[in-house]
Amino acid sequence: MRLLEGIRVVEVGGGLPVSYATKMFADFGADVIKVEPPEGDVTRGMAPFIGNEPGPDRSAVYLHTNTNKRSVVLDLAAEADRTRFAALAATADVLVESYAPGTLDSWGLGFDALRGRRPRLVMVSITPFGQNGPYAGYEGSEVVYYGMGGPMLGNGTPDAEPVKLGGYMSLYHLGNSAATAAMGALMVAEQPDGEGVHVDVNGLESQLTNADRRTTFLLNYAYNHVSTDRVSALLSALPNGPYPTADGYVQMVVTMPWVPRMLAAIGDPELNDLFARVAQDPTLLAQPETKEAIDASLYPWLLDRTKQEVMEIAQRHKWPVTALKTPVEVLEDEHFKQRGFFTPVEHPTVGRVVHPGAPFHVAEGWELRTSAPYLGQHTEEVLGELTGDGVAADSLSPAAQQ
Amino acid sequence: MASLPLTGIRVLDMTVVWSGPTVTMLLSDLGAEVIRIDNPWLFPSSTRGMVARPNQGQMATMGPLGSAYPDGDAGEYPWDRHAMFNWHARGKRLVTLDLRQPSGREVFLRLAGVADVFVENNNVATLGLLGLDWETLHAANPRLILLRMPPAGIGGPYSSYLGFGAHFEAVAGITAVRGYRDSDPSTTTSVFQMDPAAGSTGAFAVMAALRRRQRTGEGELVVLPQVENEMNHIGEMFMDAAANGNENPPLGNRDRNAVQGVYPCRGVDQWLAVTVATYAHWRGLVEAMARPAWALDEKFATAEGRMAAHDEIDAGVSSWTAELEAFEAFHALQARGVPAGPLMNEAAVFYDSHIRARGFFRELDSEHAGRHEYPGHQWSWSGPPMRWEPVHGMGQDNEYVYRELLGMSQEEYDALDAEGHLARGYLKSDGSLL
Repeated sequence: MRLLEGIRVVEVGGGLPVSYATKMFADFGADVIKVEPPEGDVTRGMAPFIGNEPGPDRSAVYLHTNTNKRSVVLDLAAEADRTRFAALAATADVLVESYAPGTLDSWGLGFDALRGRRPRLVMVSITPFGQNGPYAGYEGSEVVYYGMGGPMLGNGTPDAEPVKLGGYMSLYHLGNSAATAAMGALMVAEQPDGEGVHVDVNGLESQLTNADRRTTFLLNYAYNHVSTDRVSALLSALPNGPYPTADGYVQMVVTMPWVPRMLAAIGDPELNDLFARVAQDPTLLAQPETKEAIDASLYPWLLDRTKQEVMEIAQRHKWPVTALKTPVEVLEDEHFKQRGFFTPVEHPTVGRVVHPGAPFHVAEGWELRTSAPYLGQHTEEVLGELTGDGVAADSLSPAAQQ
Repeated sequence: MASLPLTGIRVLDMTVVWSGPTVTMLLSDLGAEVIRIDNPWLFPSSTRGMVARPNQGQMATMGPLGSAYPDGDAGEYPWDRHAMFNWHARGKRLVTLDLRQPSGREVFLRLAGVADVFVENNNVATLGLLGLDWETLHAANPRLILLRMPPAGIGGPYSSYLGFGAHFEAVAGITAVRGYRDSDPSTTTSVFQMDPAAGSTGAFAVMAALRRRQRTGEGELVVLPQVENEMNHIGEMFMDAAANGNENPPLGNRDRNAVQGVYPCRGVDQWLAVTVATYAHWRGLVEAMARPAWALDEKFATAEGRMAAHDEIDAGVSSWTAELEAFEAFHALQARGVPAGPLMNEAAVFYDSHIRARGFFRELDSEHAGRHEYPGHQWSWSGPPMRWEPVHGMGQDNEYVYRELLGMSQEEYDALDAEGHLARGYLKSDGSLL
């Protein structure tokens, strides 16, 4: 029996965070039903596309975040489909939704209404700013969450604009947090005297509580009334960031305890002397000349070697340095090849698509059993299962009757 | 009445830096009794501060976290005062034990016998070196769930490699896809997003394993390769690379599916993030800007047209935001349904009306850091109130855990002390505090 087999999750509202939150359940065996509007989930329209051509089943974002799910089309703007949705929600252990606060309530599908039929329902509401407060109802996005909630003002160079992380990191992180919250709430509902739980997960707080160094910076503000920006992030002369090699870059973050390992790996007497002086007077590390002197020793050594060589030499000395690789290079990297991380899945019309692998390993755990569904692929099947639950067989939605 | 989901669950915590500690923080918030084990003879770098007891000169040269102690003062117990540790330490029991000594290992196995979960994120070789591999732990307690969090997994050439999130993100393709457009990686700053991502997933995994144990009665080994978890967060880029050979170079603050940017506002280092993903967003933006002539061109009516004119839109929006306070522009756009947000430093977050109204910051005591406001829980819910309890000092719970929980006699406890297991901080070779 797979890790999460037996759990039914229904998702509605669409978007990347909801899709990723329920993928965490689907890939470990839960029965996840994705409720889509007639025009399809917004992720279906998101680039990049397999084959570089748009199409409702060709978005890599959609294909990645909707594996192992069933797709049901319901138009919640229509009364009849709201009835069907209520019947479907009454079969759910977990409902994950991403509408603006109050939207489901206005349709008679809010937590209290749905709990009337399913007392132990877990409903996870994913929003930009939460269910209440002055910004509740405001719109969010990848860069809005990171800019307001994350440590964005500390990321980038002082003479340029702050810069965000790649792709949709804050949206995935929001989905990841929502999955954890959902699991905790499910374990409340499943107790012998359990009860339904409504969870408020939002983009802003998922960043404030757990993004990069932000939470440490926030507590440091409480302790010291200082904020961190792109200038104060550069206080130390110790190597930090990508450094050039013969064929690309390596990533460094050298902390004081790692300096002896760096010195052993490089074996440069001048560098050794410099750090002997630093040991006597640590304030030297705050001086730009010290950074120049360290870099003057590092650059020739690095530029004589490939990034892979630098990484291997450094790691032999337990000095944390890694080669900076692009996704194309990573696909061919021996480490991930040996681990079998990348996982091809055959899609009936798109063809063979290589997916990223498991976020964690357990016995009878993660598996890509089916690729992401066509729009409404399972409408008839899923609504058919509900006929015993007060939905007449002849009341199937138009999409299902096709 | 239902109780917190992990009520009655005991978690052993042998974690460093942020990823492992985030897992145990979440488990503690959800009701578990977390017992964190520190070795008083080994200061773990970048966990309870950068170095054990920094002098003023060192503090000034270790970046923004060098002096992240209350009032910039490392105090008598610096390891109990650092912000990088205290934010996740709430509610955890703290004990000391030297696992390298046979007596320490023996005590640990007794603890494992009364625990449900053990979480560790050390170097992949550490458990084996301590004689605490999965087989040994499973034999000591067949119901124990072990969560291991090796950064690059167990197996493969990099599995023994050392580094922070920034290092593994670099070797796994995650760093190469961020940074300024048309720049080389030398302008890309180090970030550490692998840890929080692994924190959420680790707590998810432990709870899933606990659910399964209710059915099987058996513990199990859970392995979370931290960087592979995070690689899922750029999953579509690997799929694009594999299917299309596309490199996905950095886009700065732009987005493949929307017009997006970060625009300068009035003041020093004041910025507004704006995303225009739909025509409705575009109309809202144009209205908020009071319909400037440049923005009325029909070419902006389609997503393709807007993407093609991104530079022109950036210039127009920048000239509008430059005259405004970031929060003024934020509310003007949000009132018209446009995703926008001011870039907030820590001071701005601390005094933000929304964050305050939600009661996000909450006071917390710490044995050696005093009483301060701390960033709150990751989510809120209608369920039983999540735990919010003081930050303990290192070794503060030695007596409770060894005497009460394990039922040691005073003689046994004194022997532990004599063997150097019990301390309130990190020790020099003569047994005095570092």
